[in-house]
Amino acid sequence: MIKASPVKIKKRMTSLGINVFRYIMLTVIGYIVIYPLFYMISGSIKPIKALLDVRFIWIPRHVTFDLFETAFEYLDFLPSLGRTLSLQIVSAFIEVFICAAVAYGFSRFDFKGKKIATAFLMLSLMVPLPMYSLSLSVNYRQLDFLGILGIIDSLTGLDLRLNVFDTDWVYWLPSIFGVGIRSGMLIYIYMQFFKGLPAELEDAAYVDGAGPIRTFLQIALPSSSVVIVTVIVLAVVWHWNESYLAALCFTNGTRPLSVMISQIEVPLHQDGLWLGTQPIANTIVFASCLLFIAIPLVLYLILQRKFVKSIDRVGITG
Amino acid sequence: MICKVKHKNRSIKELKERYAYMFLSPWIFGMIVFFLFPIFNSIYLSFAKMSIGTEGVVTQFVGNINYYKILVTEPEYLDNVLLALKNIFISVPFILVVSMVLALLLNGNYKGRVFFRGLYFMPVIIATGAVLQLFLTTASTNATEAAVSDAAGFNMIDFDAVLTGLKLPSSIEKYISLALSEIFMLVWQSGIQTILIIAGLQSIPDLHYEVARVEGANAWETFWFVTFPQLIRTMILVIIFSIIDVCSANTNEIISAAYNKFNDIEYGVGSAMLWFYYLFVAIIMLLIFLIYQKVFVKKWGESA
Repeated sequence: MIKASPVKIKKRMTSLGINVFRYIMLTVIGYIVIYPLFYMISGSIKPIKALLDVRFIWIPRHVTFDLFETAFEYLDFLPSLGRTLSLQIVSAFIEVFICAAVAYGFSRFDFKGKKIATAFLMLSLMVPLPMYSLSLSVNYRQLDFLGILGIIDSLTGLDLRLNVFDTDWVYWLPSIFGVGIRSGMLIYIYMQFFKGLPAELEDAAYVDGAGPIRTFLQIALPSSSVVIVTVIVLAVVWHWNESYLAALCFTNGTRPLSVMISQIEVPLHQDGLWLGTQPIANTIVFASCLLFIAIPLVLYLILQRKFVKSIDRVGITG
Repeated sequence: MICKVKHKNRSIKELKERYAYMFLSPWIFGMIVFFLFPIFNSIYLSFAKMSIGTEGVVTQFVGNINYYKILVTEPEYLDNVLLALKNIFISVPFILVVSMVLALLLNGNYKGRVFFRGLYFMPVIIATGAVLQLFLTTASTNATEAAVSDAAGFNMIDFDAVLTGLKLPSSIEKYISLALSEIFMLVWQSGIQTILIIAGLQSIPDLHYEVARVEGANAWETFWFVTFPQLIRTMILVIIFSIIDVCSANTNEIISAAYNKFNDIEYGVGSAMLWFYYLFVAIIMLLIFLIYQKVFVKKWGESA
């Protein structure tokens, strides 16, 4: 066997040191990341008596699922979940598709006014939805495009303005036009990816006489399946959690889960349970939170491997 | 011949421009109708009185009464704005550092990377909504109210004791103890930022690292002269994203106060609250852009 040179040994020692440091740091911070989740889980399956126990115990001796039943009722779980799926998840998938098309237009073609358009894209990243969701919701009562339909109404008496308030269109409409919830961010992620994607294949398609839309659908979109995983996860999560616009637009009827959870204090108060002072109220909230994040969490655990790999590919530039 | 080629090139250029409008015209329309128009409308609302009745929406211009109301008759509003702005300066640098460190730790080849990455991206799923706020309010009170002992409760480690032991200058100590008291919140909020930075790290060509290695740069120098300059653009995005995230989080006092006003059908006052606050946030973001333009773009040129 050839004796390893001192330089090599030194190198190996450094890389070993880096790895040990890495694992220690990752474990310590990982504990911080996972701690609240465990805290919620253990808090919501313990009987109330055990909560008041001075000894803090991770795994309770008696497990009870009563709290989940209560949380189920407080959240009005199944109807609200149905609303969330039809309103927010459908909208998320519309956005995943539309944002790809917009980003493709941005990153593949040069056109007049590209600088201005990019500036507005940046602006859409910088003004969060809660800032203008009130006027969005007001507009939905009499859906109008820049007041044009209103002018038609006052001139001819023909009212074409629809009331889409309280319907799923309040999320779908912006998503269809690629300006939905945080779509600026999604467009940006797609753009980063398309920048690194070689354009030769698409040029070949043009030479063979394919139109731009066909090229996009059959060449560019299938090659971006890696980045789509990232975008789907982010879009679903952001839609799932959005509650400001939904709270303004759904005043009566079934509301999505995000609104139910953000206003869970209200029914709790009505039943004489005060958040923060009564352990039972807190544990109901923990159970509700777990119910609320359960579905995205399961989706994430299924997609996790693909998601992690997908992130590696997002930023690859040639 | 040359003339013909030139002509052909131009027509392809024109064609591609047409394609661009094909892809972008719905977005431009949506941008105007569902983004710019609502913004202007909402700024106008902050100077108006709006009522939603049976005959539709009626708005009436009232001047700066709404602003007068929030600034003069509601003294706690201004305090809250200051607090929320201070929160930006506390949270955002900390989130930046945490996500940078996490990205550097998670990036690279090591055993169990899929597991660790999966673990660290999980907060992205949980911590973007109301759950985080609910958790923080209930968990922190649970620890005291349910008489769970301090060390075993929500505070895993008594940070304050450690800090006073270190004997740092009081202002730094204050900052660190403030950041540490919100450590869960901040680590949980760094998920997307970590993802963005990892994507940024991946986009740096290996060639640059090779050159640095050949030139004999150590890890520290490699980070500051190769990695960091190429990450600046990503960092700007991460900063903007973090500021917006902190501003629109469910834990933000201003936003919840404004939405309470909306519930009390005081639409104008609520809008005024939002836009007065956002004015300062916009100024902060503008300053960051200016610094970026002046310092970094000049220093490293277009490559940065």
